[in-house]
Amino acid sequence: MTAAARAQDDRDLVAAMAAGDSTSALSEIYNRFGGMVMAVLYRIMGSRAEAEELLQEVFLELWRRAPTYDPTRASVSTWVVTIARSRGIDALRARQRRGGGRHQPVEEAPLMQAPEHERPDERMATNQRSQRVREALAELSDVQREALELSYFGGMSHREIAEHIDIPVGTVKSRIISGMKVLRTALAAQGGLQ
Amino acid sequence: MTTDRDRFEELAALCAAGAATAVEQRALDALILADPIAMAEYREFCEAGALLAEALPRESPPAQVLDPVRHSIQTTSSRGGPQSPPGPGHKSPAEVIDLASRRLRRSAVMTTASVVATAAMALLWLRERDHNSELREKLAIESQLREAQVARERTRNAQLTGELHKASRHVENLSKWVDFVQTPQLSLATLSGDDGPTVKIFIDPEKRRWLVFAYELPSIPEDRDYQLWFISQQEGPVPAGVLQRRPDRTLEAEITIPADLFDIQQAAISIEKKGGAEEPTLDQIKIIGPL
Repeated sequence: MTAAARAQDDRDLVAAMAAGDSTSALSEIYNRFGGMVMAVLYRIMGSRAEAEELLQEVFLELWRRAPTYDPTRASVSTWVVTIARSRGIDALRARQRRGGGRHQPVEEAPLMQAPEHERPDERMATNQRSQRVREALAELSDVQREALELSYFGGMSHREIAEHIDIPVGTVKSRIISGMKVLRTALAAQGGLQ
Repeated sequence: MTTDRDRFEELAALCAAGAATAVEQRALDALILADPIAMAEYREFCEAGALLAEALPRESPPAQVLDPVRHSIQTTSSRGGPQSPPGPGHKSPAEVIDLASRRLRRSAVMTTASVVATAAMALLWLRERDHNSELREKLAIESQLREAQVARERTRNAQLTGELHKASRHVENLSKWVDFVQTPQLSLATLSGDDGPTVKIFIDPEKRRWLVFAYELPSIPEDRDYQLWFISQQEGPVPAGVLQRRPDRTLEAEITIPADLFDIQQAAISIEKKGGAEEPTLDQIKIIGPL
Protein backbone atom coordinates (compact mmCIF):
# COMPACT_ATOMS: atom_id res chain seq x y z
CA MET A 1 0.00 0.00 0.00
CA THR A 2 1.39 3.37 -1.00
CA ALA A 3 1.56 6.24 1.44
CA ALA A 4 -1.22 8.02 -0.39
CA ALA A 5 -3.43 4.91 -0.38
CA ARG A 6 -2.72 4.40 3.25
CA ALA A 7 -3.61 8.03 4.03
CA GLN A 8 -6.88 7.57 2.17
CA ASP A 9 -7.48 4.35 4.07
CA ASP A 10 -6.95 6.26 7.33
CA ARG A 11 -9.53 8.81 6.31
CA ASP A 12 -12.00 6.06 5.44
CA LEU A 13 -11.53 4.51 8.85
CA VAL A 14 -12.28 7.80 10.56
CA ALA A 15 -15.34 8.23 8.35
CA ALA A 16 -16.48 4.75 9.37
CA MET A 17 -16.06 5.64 13.01
CA ALA A 18 -18.01 8.82 12.41
CA ALA A 19 -20.76 6.63 10.95
CA GLY A 20 -20.87 4.55 14.11
CA ASP A 21 -18.45 1.68 13.52
CA SER A 22 -17.06 1.06 16.96
CA THR A 23 -15.67 -2.36 16.17
CA SER A 24 -13.56 -2.92 13.06
CA ALA A 25 -12.83 0.74 12.24
CA LEU A 26 -11.95 1.59 15.81
CA SER A 27 -9.82 -1.56 16.07
CA GLU A 28 -7.96 -0.71 12.87
CA ILE A 29 -7.33 2.88 13.98
CA TYR A 30 -6.02 1.47 17.23
CA ASN A 31 -3.78 -0.98 15.42
CA ARG A 32 -2.37 1.76 13.24
CA PHE A 33 -1.94 4.53 15.79
CA GLY A 34 -2.03 2.87 19.23
CA GLY A 35 1.75 2.50 19.39
CA MET A 36 2.35 6.10 18.36
CA VAL A 37 -0.27 7.45 20.76
CA MET A 38 1.26 5.38 23.53
CA ALA A 39 4.70 6.75 22.63
CA VAL A 40 3.47 10.35 22.69
CA LEU A 41 1.75 9.88 26.04
CA TYR A 42 4.74 8.08 27.49
CA ARG A 43 7.06 10.85 26.30
CA ILE A 44 4.83 13.53 27.83
CA MET A 45 4.05 11.83 31.13
CA GLY A 46 7.31 9.93 31.62
CA SER A 47 5.26 7.13 33.17
CA ARG A 48 3.98 4.10 31.37
CA ALA A 49 1.16 3.55 33.87
CA GLU A 50 -0.16 7.08 33.38
CA ALA A 51 0.26 6.76 29.63
CA GLU A 52 -1.81 3.56 29.62
CA GLU A 53 -4.58 5.25 31.55
CA LEU A 54 -4.64 8.15 29.11
CA LEU A 55 -4.49 5.88 26.08
CA GLN A 56 -8.04 4.73 26.67
CA GLU A 57 -9.26 8.31 27.01
CA VAL A 58 -7.53 9.30 23.78
CA PHE A 59 -9.24 6.58 21.76
CA LEU A 60 -12.59 7.38 23.29
CA GLU A 61 -12.03 10.99 22.28
CA LEU A 62 -11.00 9.97 18.78
CA TRP A 63 -14.28 8.10 18.51
CA ARG A 64 -16.28 11.07 19.75
CA ARG A 65 -14.49 13.60 17.55
CA ALA A 66 -14.48 11.47 14.41
CA PRO A 67 -17.62 13.19 13.01
CA THR A 68 -15.86 16.57 13.16
CA TYR A 69 -12.61 15.38 11.55
CA ASP A 70 -11.78 17.63 8.55
CA PRO A 71 -9.32 15.99 6.12
CA THR A 72 -8.51 19.39 4.62
CA ARG A 73 -7.05 20.60 7.89
CA ALA A 74 -4.89 17.65 8.95
CA SER A 75 -3.94 14.13 8.03
CA VAL A 76 -5.41 11.42 10.23
CA SER A 77 -1.99 10.83 11.73
CA THR A 78 -1.60 14.50 12.68
CA TRP A 79 -5.19 14.60 13.94
CA VAL A 80 -4.53 11.60 16.18
CA VAL A 81 -1.22 13.05 17.42
CA THR A 82 -2.86 16.42 18.11
CA ILE A 83 -5.59 14.84 20.24
CA ALA A 84 -3.13 12.57 22.06
CA ARG A 85 -0.74 15.43 22.72
CA SER A 86 -3.56 17.66 23.93
CA ARG A 87 -4.78 14.99 26.37
CA GLY A 88 -1.27 14.30 27.55
CA ILE A 89 -0.42 17.97 28.13
CA ASP A 90 -3.70 18.46 30.02
CA ALA A 91 -2.86 15.49 32.26
CA LEU A 92 0.69 16.76 32.75
CA ARG A 93 -0.56 20.20 33.81
CA ALA A 94 -3.10 18.60 36.13
CA ARG A 95 -0.29 16.60 37.71
CA GLN A 96 1.80 19.75 38.08
CA ARG A 97 -1.12 21.52 39.77
CA ARG A 98 -1.29 18.62 42.23
CA GLY A 99 2.37 19.18 43.00
CA GLY A 100 3.79 16.57 40.64
CA GLY A 101 6.84 17.13 38.51
CA ARG A 102 7.12 18.85 35.17
CA HIS A 103 7.81 17.16 31.88
CA GLN A 104 10.73 14.80 32.22
CA PRO A 105 11.78 13.38 28.87
CA VAL A 106 12.31 9.67 28.86
CA GLU A 107 15.70 8.47 27.85
CA GLU A 108 16.35 8.95 24.17
CA ALA A 109 15.68 5.83 22.17
CA PRO A 110 16.19 4.93 18.54
CA LEU A 111 13.82 6.56 16.13
CA MET A 112 10.62 4.98 15.08
CA GLN A 113 10.54 1.26 14.53
CA ALA A 114 7.61 -0.66 13.10
CA PRO A 115 5.64 -2.53 15.74
CA GLU A 116 6.00 -6.28 15.65
CA HIS A 117 2.27 -6.87 15.20
CA GLU A 118 1.99 -4.89 11.93
CA ARG A 119 1.27 -6.73 8.68
CA PRO A 120 4.14 -6.80 6.14
CA ASP A 121 2.58 -4.11 3.95
CA GLU A 122 1.90 -1.94 6.98
CA ARG A 123 5.38 -2.59 8.22
CA MET A 124 6.75 -1.45 4.90
CA ALA A 125 4.69 1.73 4.97
CA THR A 126 5.72 2.40 8.52
CA ASN A 127 9.34 1.88 7.67
CA GLN A 128 9.06 4.22 4.70
CA ARG A 129 7.54 6.89 6.90
CA SER A 130 10.17 6.14 9.50
CA GLN A 131 12.89 6.78 7.00
CA ARG A 132 11.26 10.03 5.96
CA VAL A 133 10.89 11.22 9.52
CA ARG A 134 14.45 10.23 10.37
CA GLU A 135 15.75 12.26 7.50
CA ALA A 136 13.60 15.23 8.47
CA LEU A 137 14.69 15.19 12.10
CA ALA A 138 18.32 14.83 11.12
CA GLU A 139 18.10 18.34 9.74
CA LEU A 140 17.46 19.78 13.24
CA SER A 141 20.25 21.13 15.38
CA ASP A 142 20.51 20.04 19.01
CA VAL A 143 19.25 23.38 20.34
CA GLN A 144 16.32 23.36 17.90
CA ARG A 145 15.48 19.81 18.93
CA GLU A 146 15.66 20.74 22.63
CA ALA A 147 13.35 23.73 22.20
CA LEU A 148 10.86 21.72 20.15
CA GLU A 149 10.98 18.83 22.63
CA LEU A 150 10.12 21.13 25.54
CA SER A 151 7.28 22.84 23.69
CA TYR A 152 5.77 19.84 21.94
CA PHE A 153 6.06 17.25 24.70
CA GLY A 154 6.60 19.49 27.71
CA GLY A 155 3.65 21.76 26.97
CA MET A 156 5.79 24.83 27.66
CA SER A 157 5.31 28.18 25.97
CA HIS A 158 8.37 29.95 24.58
CA ARG A 159 8.48 32.10 27.71
CA GLU A 160 8.44 29.07 29.98
CA ILE A 161 11.17 27.45 27.96
CA ALA A 162 13.27 30.62 28.20
CA GLU A 163 12.93 30.51 31.99
CA HIS A 164 13.52 26.76 32.07
CA ILE A 165 16.81 26.80 30.20
CA ASP A 166 17.70 30.37 31.11
CA ILE A 167 18.07 31.96 27.69
CA PRO A 168 16.30 34.97 26.16
CA VAL A 169 12.75 34.52 24.92
CA GLY A 170 13.76 35.77 21.49
CA THR A 171 16.36 33.04 21.23
CA VAL A 172 13.82 30.38 22.13
CA LYS A 173 11.33 31.68 19.58
CA SER A 174 14.03 31.81 16.97
CA ARG A 175 15.05 28.19 17.63
CA ILE A 176 11.46 26.94 17.53
CA ILE A 177 10.55 28.85 14.38
CA SER A 178 13.70 27.83 12.56
CA GLY A 179 13.28 24.22 13.71
CA MET A 180 9.70 24.09 12.49
CA LYS A 181 10.73 25.56 9.15
CA VAL A 182 13.39 22.89 8.84
CA LEU A 183 10.85 20.15 9.49
CA ARG A 184 8.35 21.69 7.11
CA THR A 185 10.91 21.98 4.35
CA ALA A 186 12.09 18.42 4.89
CA LEU A 187 8.54 17.12 4.84
CA ALA A 188 7.76 18.95 1.62
CA ALA A 189 10.95 17.74 -0.03
CA GLN A 190 10.06 14.12 0.72
CA GLY A 191 6.63 14.15 -0.78
CA GLY A 192 4.72 16.39 1.48
CA LEU A 193 1.28 15.65 2.76
CA GLN A 194 -0.92 12.74 1.86
CA MET B 1 11.67 44.83 9.84
CA THR B 2 9.00 42.22 10.44
CA THR B 3 6.57 41.74 7.58
CA ASP B 4 3.10 40.25 7.77
CA ARG B 5 4.52 37.16 6.12
CA ASP B 6 7.21 36.80 8.74
CA ARG B 7 4.67 37.37 11.45
CA PHE B 8 2.38 34.67 10.02
CA GLU B 9 5.20 32.13 9.79
CA GLU B 10 6.30 32.95 13.30
CA LEU B 11 2.79 32.46 14.66
CA ALA B 12 2.18 29.30 12.63
CA ALA B 13 5.48 27.75 13.71
CA LEU B 14 4.98 28.59 17.39
CA CYS B 15 1.39 27.33 17.38
CA ALA B 16 2.22 24.12 15.54
CA ALA B 17 5.04 23.46 18.01
CA GLY B 18 2.71 24.11 20.94
CA ALA B 19 4.90 27.00 22.12
CA ALA B 20 2.51 29.87 21.45
CA THR B 21 0.81 31.90 24.13
CA ALA B 22 -2.98 32.22 24.14
CA VAL B 23 -2.69 35.68 22.57
CA GLU B 24 -0.52 34.35 19.77
CA GLN B 25 -2.91 31.47 19.18
CA ARG B 26 -5.82 33.88 18.83
CA ALA B 27 -3.82 36.06 16.46
CA LEU B 28 -3.12 33.06 14.24
CA ASP B 29 -6.77 31.97 14.33
CA ALA B 30 -7.72 35.43 13.09
CA LEU B 31 -5.20 35.22 10.26
CA ILE B 32 -6.21 31.79 8.95
CA LEU B 33 -9.93 32.12 9.47
CA ALA B 34 -10.65 33.79 6.13
CA ASP B 35 -7.49 32.79 4.26
CA PRO B 36 -7.44 29.25 2.81
CA ILE B 37 -3.84 29.61 1.72
CA ALA B 38 -2.76 30.57 5.21
CA MET B 39 -4.84 27.68 6.52
CA ALA B 40 -3.03 25.27 4.20
CA GLU B 41 0.35 26.61 5.22
CA TYR B 42 -0.52 26.26 8.86
CA ARG B 43 -1.51 22.68 8.16
CA GLU B 44 1.95 22.06 6.74
CA PHE B 45 3.48 23.34 9.97
CA CYS B 46 1.20 21.09 11.99
CA GLU B 47 2.11 18.06 9.89
CA ALA B 48 5.78 18.96 10.34
CA GLY B 49 5.29 19.20 14.08
CA ALA B 50 3.60 15.81 14.11
CA LEU B 51 6.84 14.37 12.78
CA LEU B 52 8.21 14.86 16.28
CA ALA B 53 5.60 12.39 17.51
CA GLU B 54 6.02 10.04 14.63
CA ALA B 55 9.75 9.94 15.33
CA LEU B 56 9.24 8.58 18.81
CA PRO B 57 10.04 4.92 19.37
CA ARG B 58 6.79 3.02 19.36
CA GLU B 59 5.48 1.85 22.70
CA SER B 60 3.46 -1.34 22.75
CA PRO B 61 -0.06 -0.39 23.80
CA PRO B 62 -1.70 -2.57 26.43
CA ALA B 63 -4.05 -5.29 25.30
CA GLN B 64 -7.80 -4.94 25.31
CA VAL B 65 -7.84 -1.18 25.76
CA LEU B 66 -10.69 -0.96 23.28
CA ASP B 67 -13.11 -3.11 25.28
CA PRO B 68 -13.68 -0.48 27.96
CA VAL B 69 -13.66 2.19 25.22
CA ARG B 70 -16.44 0.32 23.42
CA HIS B 71 -18.25 -0.13 26.70
CA SER B 72 -18.10 3.64 27.23
CA ILE B 73 -19.24 4.22 23.67
CA GLN B 74 -22.23 1.91 24.14
CA THR B 75 -23.24 3.52 27.41
CA THR B 76 -22.56 7.16 26.56
CA SER B 77 -22.60 7.65 22.82
CA SER B 78 -25.80 8.37 20.93
CA ARG B 79 -24.06 7.39 17.70
CA GLY B 80 -25.27 3.98 16.52
CA GLY B 81 -23.43 1.62 14.25
CA PRO B 82 -22.67 -1.97 13.45
CA GLN B 83 -21.49 -4.02 16.36
CA SER B 84 -19.47 -7.18 15.91
CA PRO B 85 -20.77 -10.25 17.70
CA PRO B 86 -18.61 -11.37 20.58
CA GLY B 87 -15.83 -13.69 19.43
CA PRO B 88 -14.53 -16.77 21.19
CA GLY B 89 -12.00 -14.80 23.10
CA HIS B 90 -14.40 -12.01 23.85
CA LYS B 91 -14.72 -10.97 27.39
CA SER B 92 -17.52 -8.90 28.77
CA PRO B 93 -16.56 -5.35 29.76
CA ALA B 94 -16.81 -6.41 33.36
CA GLU B 95 -14.27 -9.17 32.85
CA VAL B 96 -11.54 -7.27 31.06
CA ILE B 97 -8.82 -5.26 32.71
CA ASP B 98 -10.65 -2.04 32.53
CA LEU B 99 -8.43 0.95 33.16
CA ALA B 100 -11.40 3.26 33.37
CA SER B 101 -13.03 0.96 35.89
CA ARG B 102 -9.75 0.77 37.76
CA ARG B 103 -9.78 4.54 37.95
CA LEU B 104 -13.40 4.48 38.98
CA ARG B 105 -12.57 1.90 41.65
CA ARG B 106 -9.69 4.07 42.80
CA SER B 107 -12.06 6.99 42.87
CA ALA B 108 -14.57 4.88 44.81
CA VAL B 109 -11.83 3.90 47.27
CA MET B 110 -10.89 7.55 47.63
CA THR B 111 -14.55 8.42 48.13
CA THR B 112 -14.95 5.64 50.69
CA ALA B 113 -11.80 6.76 52.45
CA SER B 114 -13.10 10.29 52.42
CA VAL B 115 -16.46 9.15 53.83
CA VAL B 116 -14.73 7.07 56.51
CA ALA B 117 -12.48 9.99 57.38
CA THR B 118 -15.48 12.29 57.53
CA ALA B 119 -17.38 9.78 59.68
CA ALA B 120 -14.37 9.42 61.97
CA MET B 121 -14.11 13.15 62.29
CA ALA B 122 -17.84 13.36 62.93
CA LEU B 123 -17.50 10.65 65.60
CA LEU B 124 -14.60 12.51 67.18
CA TRP B 125 -16.61 15.69 67.00
CA LEU B 126 -19.60 14.01 68.65
CA ARG B 127 -17.37 12.53 71.37
CA GLU B 128 -15.75 15.88 71.86
CA ARG B 129 -19.17 17.50 71.97
CA ASP B 130 -20.38 14.97 74.60
CA HIS B 131 -17.19 15.46 76.52
CA ASN B 132 -17.67 19.22 76.35
CA SER B 133 -21.28 18.78 77.41
CA GLU B 134 -20.16 16.74 80.46
CA LEU B 135 -17.57 19.35 81.25
CA ARG B 136 -20.17 22.09 80.96
CA GLU B 137 -22.51 20.18 83.31
CA LYS B 138 -19.68 19.65 85.78
CA LEU B 139 -18.74 23.28 85.58
CA ALA B 140 -22.39 24.29 86.10
CA ILE B 141 -22.66 22.05 89.18
CA GLU B 142 -19.35 23.29 90.52
CA SER B 143 -20.48 26.83 89.86
CA GLN B 144 -23.74 26.22 91.76
CA LEU B 145 -21.80 24.63 94.63
CA ARG B 146 -19.41 27.56 94.66
CA GLU B 147 -22.32 30.02 94.66
CA ALA B 148 -23.97 28.14 97.55
CA GLN B 149 -20.64 28.12 99.36
CA VAL B 150 -20.23 31.83 98.74
CA ALA B 151 -23.77 32.44 100.00
CA ARG B 152 -23.00 30.43 103.14
CA GLU B 153 -19.77 32.34 103.60
CA ARG B 154 -21.62 35.63 103.18
CA THR B 155 -24.18 34.60 105.77
CA ARG B 156 -21.43 33.49 108.08
CA ASN B 157 -19.58 36.72 107.47
CA ALA B 158 -22.72 38.68 108.23
CA GLN B 159 -23.15 36.72 111.44
CA LEU B 160 -19.54 37.24 112.36
CA THR B 161 -19.81 40.89 111.48
CA GLY B 162 -22.89 41.17 113.67
CA GLU B 163 -21.11 39.37 116.47
CA LEU B 164 -18.09 41.55 115.94
CA HIS B 165 -20.21 44.67 116.13
CA LYS B 166 -21.87 43.27 119.24
CA ALA B 167 -18.51 42.48 120.71
CA SER B 168 -17.29 45.91 119.74
CA ARG B 169 -20.23 47.47 121.44
CA HIS B 170 -19.60 45.29 124.47
CA VAL B 171 -15.97 46.27 124.52
CA GLU B 172 -17.04 49.85 124.12
CA ASN B 173 -19.37 49.49 127.09
CA LEU B 174 -16.68 47.78 129.07
CA SER B 175 -14.35 50.60 128.17
CA LYS B 176 -16.93 53.03 129.44
CA TRP B 177 -17.16 50.97 132.58
CA VAL B 178 -13.45 50.93 133.01
CA ASP B 179 -13.35 54.63 132.32
CA PHE B 180 -16.03 55.20 134.91
CA VAL B 181 -14.47 52.86 137.45
CA GLN B 182 -11.16 54.61 137.12
CA THR B 183 -12.85 57.93 138.04
CA PRO B 184 -11.61 58.85 141.55
CA GLN B 185 -14.87 60.50 142.67
CA LEU B 186 -17.15 57.80 141.28
CA SER B 187 -20.33 57.36 143.31
CA LEU B 188 -23.25 55.00 142.96
CA ALA B 189 -26.90 55.72 143.59
CA THR B 190 -29.51 52.98 143.70
CA LEU B 191 -33.22 53.59 143.23
CA SER B 192 -35.82 50.93 143.84
CA GLY B 193 -39.41 50.76 142.64
CA ASP B 194 -42.47 49.22 144.21
CA ASP B 195 -42.67 46.02 142.23
CA GLY B 196 -38.99 45.15 142.19
CA PRO B 197 -37.35 47.33 139.54
CA THR B 198 -34.00 48.78 140.44
CA VAL B 199 -31.93 51.57 138.96
CA LYS B 200 -28.19 51.91 139.45
CA ILE B 201 -26.71 55.31 138.64
CA PHE B 202 -22.93 55.69 138.44
CA ILE B 203 -22.09 59.32 138.86
CA ASP B 204 -18.89 60.97 137.69
CA PRO B 205 -19.06 64.46 139.20
CA GLU B 206 -15.80 65.55 137.65
CA LYS B 207 -16.98 65.01 134.10
CA ARG B 208 -20.62 65.58 135.01
CA ARG B 209 -21.90 62.37 133.49
CA TRP B 210 -24.10 59.49 134.58
CA LEU B 211 -24.15 55.89 133.59
CA VAL B 212 -27.57 54.45 134.28
CA PHE B 213 -28.71 50.83 134.41
CA ALA B 214 -32.31 49.89 135.07
CA TYR B 215 -33.32 46.34 135.93
CA GLU B 216 -36.67 44.53 135.88
CA LEU B 217 -38.71 47.38 134.51
CA PRO B 218 -41.91 45.99 132.96
CA SER B 219 -42.22 45.69 129.21
CA ILE B 220 -43.85 48.62 127.44
CA PRO B 221 -45.48 49.07 124.02
CA GLU B 222 -43.28 49.77 121.03
CA ASP B 223 -44.49 53.37 120.86
CA ARG B 224 -43.30 54.08 124.36
CA ASP B 225 -39.91 54.71 126.00
CA TYR B 226 -38.65 54.81 129.56
CA GLN B 227 -37.40 58.32 130.12
CA LEU B 228 -34.96 59.49 132.83
CA TRP B 229 -35.51 62.76 134.61
CA PHE B 230 -33.19 64.98 136.70
CA ILE B 231 -35.16 66.54 139.47
CA SER B 232 -33.65 69.84 140.52
CA GLN B 233 -34.77 71.85 143.47
CA GLN B 234 -35.01 74.98 141.38
CA GLU B 235 -35.86 73.63 137.89
CA GLY B 236 -38.12 70.78 138.83
CA PRO B 237 -38.04 67.75 136.42
CA VAL B 238 -35.55 68.18 133.60
CA PRO B 239 -35.46 65.64 130.71
CA ALA B 240 -32.27 63.52 130.93
CA GLY B 241 -32.87 61.19 127.98
CA VAL B 242 -34.53 57.91 127.16
CA LEU B 243 -33.17 54.55 128.23
CA GLN B 244 -32.04 52.04 125.61
CA ARG B 245 -32.96 48.41 126.00
CA ARG B 246 -30.07 45.97 125.98
CA PRO B 247 -30.29 42.35 124.82
CA ASP B 248 -30.42 41.16 128.43
CA ARG B 249 -33.54 43.31 128.82
CA THR B 250 -31.60 45.75 130.98
CA LEU B 251 -32.12 49.41 130.15
CA GLU B 252 -29.21 51.76 130.04
CA ALA B 253 -28.33 55.33 129.29
CA GLU B 254 -25.23 57.43 129.28
CA ILE B 255 -26.13 60.91 130.33
CA THR B 256 -24.27 64.16 130.36
CA ILE B 257 -25.55 66.63 132.88
CA PRO B 258 -26.45 70.04 131.43
CA ALA B 259 -23.84 72.64 132.28
CA ASP B 260 -26.37 74.94 133.92
CA LEU B 261 -27.89 72.31 136.15
CA PHE B 262 -26.25 72.02 139.56
CA ASP B 263 -28.72 71.15 142.28
CA ILE B 264 -29.93 67.74 141.22
CA GLN B 265 -31.58 66.15 144.22
CA GLN B 266 -33.43 63.21 142.80
CA ALA B 267 -33.82 61.11 139.64
CA ALA B 268 -36.96 59.53 138.27
CA ILE B 269 -37.96 57.18 135.39
CA SER B 270 -41.37 57.41 133.71
CA ILE B 271 -43.05 55.89 130.69
CA GLU B 272 -43.39 58.46 127.95
CA LYS B 273 -44.12 58.68 124.27
CA LYS B 274 -41.45 57.36 121.87
CA GLY B 275 -38.45 59.63 121.91
CA GLY B 276 -39.32 61.27 125.20
CA ALA B 277 -41.36 64.20 126.45
CA GLU B 278 -40.72 67.71 127.80
CA GLU B 279 -42.71 67.08 130.95
CA PRO B 280 -43.03 63.84 132.85
CA THR B 281 -46.38 62.07 132.93
CA LEU B 282 -46.83 61.90 136.62
CA ASP B 283 -48.99 58.79 136.78
CA GLN B 284 -46.43 56.97 134.67
CA ILE B 285 -43.46 57.50 136.96
CA LYS B 286 -42.19 54.05 137.85
CA ILE B 287 -39.14 54.85 139.95
CA ILE B 288 -38.10 57.94 141.80
CA GLY B 289 -35.59 58.47 144.57
CA PRO B 290 -32.81 60.59 146.00
CA LEU B 291 -29.24 60.48 144.80
